[in-house]
Amino acid sequence: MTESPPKKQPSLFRLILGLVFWLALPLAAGWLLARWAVPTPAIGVVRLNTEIYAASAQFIGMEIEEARKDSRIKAVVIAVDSPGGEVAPTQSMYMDLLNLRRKMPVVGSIDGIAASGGFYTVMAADPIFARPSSTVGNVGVWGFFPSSIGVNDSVLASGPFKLTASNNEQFQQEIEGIKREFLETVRVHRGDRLKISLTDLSQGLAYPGRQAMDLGLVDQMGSETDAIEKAAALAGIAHYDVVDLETVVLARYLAALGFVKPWSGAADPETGERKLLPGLYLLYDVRLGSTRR
Amino acid sequence: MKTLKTTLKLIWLLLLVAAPLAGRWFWFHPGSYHVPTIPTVDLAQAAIPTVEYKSYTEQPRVQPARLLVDRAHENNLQIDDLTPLLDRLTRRGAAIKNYDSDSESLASELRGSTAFLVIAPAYPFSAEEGRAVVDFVKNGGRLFLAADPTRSVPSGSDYGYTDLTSLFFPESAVPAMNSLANRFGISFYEDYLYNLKNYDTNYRNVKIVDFAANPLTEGLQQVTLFAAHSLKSDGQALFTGDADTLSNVRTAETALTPAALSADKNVLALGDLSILLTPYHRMADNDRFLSNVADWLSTSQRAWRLQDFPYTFRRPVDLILLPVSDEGDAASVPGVTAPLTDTVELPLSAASFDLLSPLQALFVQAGQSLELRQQPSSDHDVIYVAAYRSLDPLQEILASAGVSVTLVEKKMAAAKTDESAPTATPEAVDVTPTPAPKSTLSIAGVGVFEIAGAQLFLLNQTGAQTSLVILGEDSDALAAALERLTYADFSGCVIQDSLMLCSTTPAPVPETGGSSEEPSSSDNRGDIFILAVDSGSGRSSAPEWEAALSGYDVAIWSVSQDGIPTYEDVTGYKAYIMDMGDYPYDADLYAELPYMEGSYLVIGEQPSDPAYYDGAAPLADLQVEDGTHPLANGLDGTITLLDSNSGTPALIQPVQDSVTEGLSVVLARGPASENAGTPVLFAYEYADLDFRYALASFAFYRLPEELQTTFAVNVVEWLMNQTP
Repeated sequence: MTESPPKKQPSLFRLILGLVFWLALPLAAGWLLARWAVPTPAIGVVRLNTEIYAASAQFIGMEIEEARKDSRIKAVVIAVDSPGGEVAPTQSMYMDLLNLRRKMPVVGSIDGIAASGGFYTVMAADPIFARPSSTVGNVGVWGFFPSSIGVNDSVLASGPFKLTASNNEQFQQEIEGIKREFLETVRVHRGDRLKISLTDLSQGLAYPGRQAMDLGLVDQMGSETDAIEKAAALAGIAHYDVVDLETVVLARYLAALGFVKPWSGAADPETGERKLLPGLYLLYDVRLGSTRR
Repeated sequence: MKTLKTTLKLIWLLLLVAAPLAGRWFWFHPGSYHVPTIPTVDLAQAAIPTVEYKSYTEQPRVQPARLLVDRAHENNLQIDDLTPLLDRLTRRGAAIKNYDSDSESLASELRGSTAFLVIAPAYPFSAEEGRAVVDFVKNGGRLFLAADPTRSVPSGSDYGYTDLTSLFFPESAVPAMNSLANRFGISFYEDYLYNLKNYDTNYRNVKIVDFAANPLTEGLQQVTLFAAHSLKSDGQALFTGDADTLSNVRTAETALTPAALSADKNVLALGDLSILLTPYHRMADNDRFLSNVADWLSTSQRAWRLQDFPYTFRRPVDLILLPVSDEGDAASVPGVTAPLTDTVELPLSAASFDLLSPLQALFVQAGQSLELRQQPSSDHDVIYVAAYRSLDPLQEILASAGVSVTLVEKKMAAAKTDESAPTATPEAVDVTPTPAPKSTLSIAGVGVFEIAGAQLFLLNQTGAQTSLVILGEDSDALAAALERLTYADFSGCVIQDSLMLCSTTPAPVPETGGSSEEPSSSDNRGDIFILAVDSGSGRSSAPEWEAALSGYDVAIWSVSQDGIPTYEDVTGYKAYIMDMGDYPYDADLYAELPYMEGSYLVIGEQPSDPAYYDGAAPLADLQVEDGTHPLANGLDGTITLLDSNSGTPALIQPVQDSVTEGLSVVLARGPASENAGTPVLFAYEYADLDFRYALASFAFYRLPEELQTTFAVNVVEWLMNQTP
C-alpha cells in the first residue's frame, strides 16, 4: 500500500496572496469604481440675495443651470433674501425654478426678506421655510405712469403711443393684470394651505414669518439648514455635500473674465498668480464651491 | 469542471467589485425623488375687464353766472385740467375769471361772483380770505371745493424734474384745503379710498352707487372715483361708499363719503379731482355728474348787497343826478320841516364829474354799462345821486325803507344858537345853552343821525328794477360817496341789509390813479394783535386780555381755532402779545409761528423751553422788583396769583449776573413760590431800534382780576411806546 504523500499545506504567503487577489483587490477596485460611478450627492444652494433686475436674474439662471448640469446635485434650495424688483426677470427666475422642480426637489428658504418679486420667485419652491422674523409677502406690483409726450415738429412717430409704448389706461390694465397673475400664482402653488383670501393678499402687506406661516404663505419655521435637510429627504439622499452655487458660478464667471483666478488670499491681486510656496497659502486659502455639511 | 470553477471565480470577483458600488449607492441614495404635479397658472383667471367710456348729452340752460376760479394758492393744476368743467360752464353762459396773484383782494373779487371754485390748493387761505369766502357763501354764493390725494403740494416732479423724495413722500395739500373747508363744517381727510373687491381696473378706482337725493346726484347710477379723499361734513353726504370701500387711514370705517354738501347746501366738497378730468369724466356716470356740478355752479341764489357794487345790478344802469331846487319841497319829503337856504343846482359840482369816468370804467370792467341820464328807463336799473334837500322823486323808495329826513333852515338854526348863547356875565357861567336844532336823518329800527357828515346808500328792489339811492349833504359829500363806491371803500360805514350809512370822510384815492385796487390787507390794522397759542392741553388767557383791553382795538387770533397765522396775518399792528396761557411749551408748534414785526410781549407759564432755562416750578406769587418801570405802574409789593388751571409749572428764568443795557427785571417770583427772587418778567428796550420786548413766565389769567386791566394797559402802552 502506497502511502499518499502528505497534502502540501499552503504557505502563509500564499494564503495572504490569495486573500489579496480574491478579496482585497476586487474590493479595492470596486471601491475605486464606486467612487467614480457613485459620486457624493450634493444639495445645491441658489442664492437670491439682491434686488431683482435683469443681471441678477441672469446670474440666478446660471446657478440653476449649474444645478441642472452637475450630476452630483440632487436637490436645490432657493435661499431668498430679496425685496423684489423688476417683473420680467422675476418671472424668468420663477419659471427656471419651476422647470428645475420637474427634475429635482426645490425647497425655499427665506432668510431676511422675500417681498414682492422675492416672494413670487420662492413660490416655485415647495415646501418653503422662513425665519420667524422674516418679512414675507408684499404681493403686487407698481410702476410709473407713462409720460405724456407732446406733439411737436421735430419728432414724428408712427403712432400716438409709439414713443411711450403705453398710455394711462393700458398702464393701469397692465398693473392690474400682473397683480392678478401674481395672486393666481400664489393660489395655485399654495392651494389649500392658503389661509388668507386673495382679496386680503392683494393689499400688498408684508407679514412677519410666523404670521406668514399662519396665513399659509410659507410652510415651516426653519433655517437654511432645515431647508437643506428637507431637500435631501425629498431627493432621497443621505450623506451629501452642500454646494453653494452662487460661489461656484461666481468663481467660474470671474475666471472666465480672466483677470482673477478662483482663489483668493495672498495671490497677486493683478494676475491671480501664486508667488509663495504652496504651504504658505494654507492660512489664506478659501476653497470655493464645496463645504461639507 | 475547470470552466465552472473559473466562472465561479469570475462571479466572485464581480460580486466583490460590485459590493462597494452597491454599498455606496445605498449609502447615498436610500430613497428617490418622486416628481410632484407642478401646478400651472391659469391666465384666464387673471383676465381684466376692459374700460368702457360713455358721455352724457346735456341740454344746458343759459344762466347769467359769474365764476371765480382760484389760482392764487399754488393750486396743483395743469393748464387743461379743468377744461371739461369749464367747457360745460361756458356752455351755460357763465363768465369765468381767475383769482390769482395779480388779482385784487379775494373779498373784492368775490363781490361780483356767483360761485367760487377752489380746486387742489396747496397753500392755505389766510384768515382774511377765509372771512371773505364765508361772507360770500352766507350771501348765497356757491363754493366748490375739490381736492385729490394725487394733488399734493407741488414739488420738483411737478415742475419737470425728478424728485423721488417728494414723489414717494408728498407733502399733503389737505391742510391747505381744510383752512377753508373747516369754516363750513367740512373736513377733508388725509387719506384715499380704495376697494379691493369691486373696483374699476385699479383698487383705488372706487365705484359709488349709493347717492343721496339731490339735484347734484340726479340721473346717477354709478360714479367711479379715481383716488378720492374721504370727507366729513355737517351737511348732506352726496356719495356714500359701500362696505368694501375703505380708507387707507380710517381703519375699519365704512360708509365713507367722498362728496358732500355743507349744512347750508352752498358748499360742495369733492374728494376727487380726476373725476373732472379727461378721460376719467367719461367713465360710468361721471360725465352726468360733471353736468350736474356745472348746473349747480350756474344756479346760485346769490343775494346782491350794497358792498357788491357794481355787481348789484343785473341790467344796464342809468345814473340820475337829481337837481336841487332853491325852494326844496319839504312838504313832500317825510319829516322835512324847512328848506335849506344854500342853493345847489346839481348834486355834484362840475369838478366832481371826473369821478364818473372811473365809475363807468368799473361798470365796463364788470361787464355792465352805466350811462348818465335825465330820466331812468323802465328796463334799466338806476342810481340816484341826490342831496338831502331834493328827495321828492325818491319819496316812495325812502318811505319803503323807513328813512325820513328832517331839514332845519341854517339861518333859523344860527338864530337859535345866538339866542341861547350865554352872556358874558359871571352869572352866566352856570347857564346851560340850548342846543341848536340840526337836520337829521331817521332810519326806522336804526336811529336818528345828524345829516352833517353823513352819506346814505340805499338799495331798493322794485319788481325787476334795482335802484341805488346815494344821498349826501352837498356835492362834496356826494362826490366822496361816489368815490367810496368806485373804490369799494366802505371803511367807517355802518352796513345793514340794503342800507349803508357812512361818514363823509373822503375815500382814499389810490396813487396809481386808474387802478381800483383796494388798500392792502395790512393797512388800517388795529392796535394790538394777540396771538393765543392755545393748541394742546391748557387754558388760554385770551378772554382776560380781551376784557382788560376793551378800550383798545384788539385783534385776537386763536391758533386752535384759526390755525397758524401767516406772516401777512400778523403784519401791520402796533404791538403784539403772544399769550401761551398755561399750556406746556411746544417747540414744534412755536417753530411754525410767524415772525412778528414790532414790539411784543411773550407771556405764559412756559413761554420758552424750560430745558434751556433753569427748569420749571410751581409759581404762587409775584414780587415787584422795579416799581419805577412803566410795566409796574399801579403794581406794588407782593401779588398773590390765582390757582393755575392746568398745574403746568412755570418757567424758572435765570438771575442775570450782569446788567444788560435796556434790560429790566420788573417782576420776580414771590416769597411763597419756589425759587423765590428769580425773574418772572423781563423787559428789554432797544431805544435805537424803537423796539421793545418783554418775556413773562406766568399766565395772565392768574393775575388778580383787579390788577389785570392795570397790567394789560401797562403792557400795551409800553409796547406802543406811549409811556414817557
